[in-house]
Amino acid sequence: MDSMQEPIKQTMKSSAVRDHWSEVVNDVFTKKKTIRVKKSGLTVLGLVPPEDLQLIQEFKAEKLRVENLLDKISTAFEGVPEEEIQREIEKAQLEVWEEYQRNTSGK
Amino acid sequence: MKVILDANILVSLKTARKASPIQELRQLWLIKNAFQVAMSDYIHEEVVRTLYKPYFLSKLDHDARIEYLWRLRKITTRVEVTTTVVEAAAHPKDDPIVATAIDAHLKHIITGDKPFQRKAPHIFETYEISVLTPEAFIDEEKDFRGFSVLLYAHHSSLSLCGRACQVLLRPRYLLYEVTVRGLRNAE
Repeated sequence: MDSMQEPIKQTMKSSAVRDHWSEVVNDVFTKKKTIRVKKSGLTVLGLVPPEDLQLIQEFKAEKLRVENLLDKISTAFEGVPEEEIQREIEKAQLEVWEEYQRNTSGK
Repeated sequence: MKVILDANILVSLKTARKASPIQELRQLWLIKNAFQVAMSDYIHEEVVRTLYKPYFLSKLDHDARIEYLWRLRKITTRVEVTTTVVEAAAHPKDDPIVATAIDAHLKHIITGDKPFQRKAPHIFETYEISVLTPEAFIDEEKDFRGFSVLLYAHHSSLSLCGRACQVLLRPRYLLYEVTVRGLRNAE
């Protein structure tokens, strides 16, 4: 059976977080709770266990790597008119759809 | 906020010029983390096959293409699509994109495809999903951020009920839980 547990999620007002700070720290660290902190109805802060923080940081770093990669490869299209690129994308997508149709109808 | 990026946007990200809406969208997603992206196997397959068409093969380096496709999986949430949508979009190729948004419970599809955009009112009426151009999404995102700050700063003030209320009362803004809460606060 699946032994993985769903993370405990909680929403708290910022004033309640302030009043119960020690308890909140304990809940996040030991019970691995994720707490959404709200002020005037808006989420202003998230409290997550250190392991989750690491995941968030890695995820953000991965996104930055994609941005750098896109920056590097977009140079291949320098000087190419925007209309040409859009036309080629549309053409390619219609071809992809026709291939997809052929493949699925042949099954 | 999580959205669906159509395959043409995911391909266009590679070709984006400085100061273009696609470039701004890219920054909002990858640098500012203003939204997250969900993707179905169908959309990923569309991106893969498009990038393997002769035009893109001739322009893009093999390793860069592979790396992009691989990393794209890592930074998006995979959606398993079980819903079948028929004749929602202008072209049947876009119906699986609407199905992706339905199964992911998402309210925004961003696309550069004009016929798809033209069906936006019908799709919104039927599924409450907004089909937006990158420009329209960026405008909404800016409004949303601006008014979030406004709601936070003036939640108890009647001054909120000027232009802000008019904008927030547009049907698409009522999809945001935070906005509805903001309006309740303003009452």
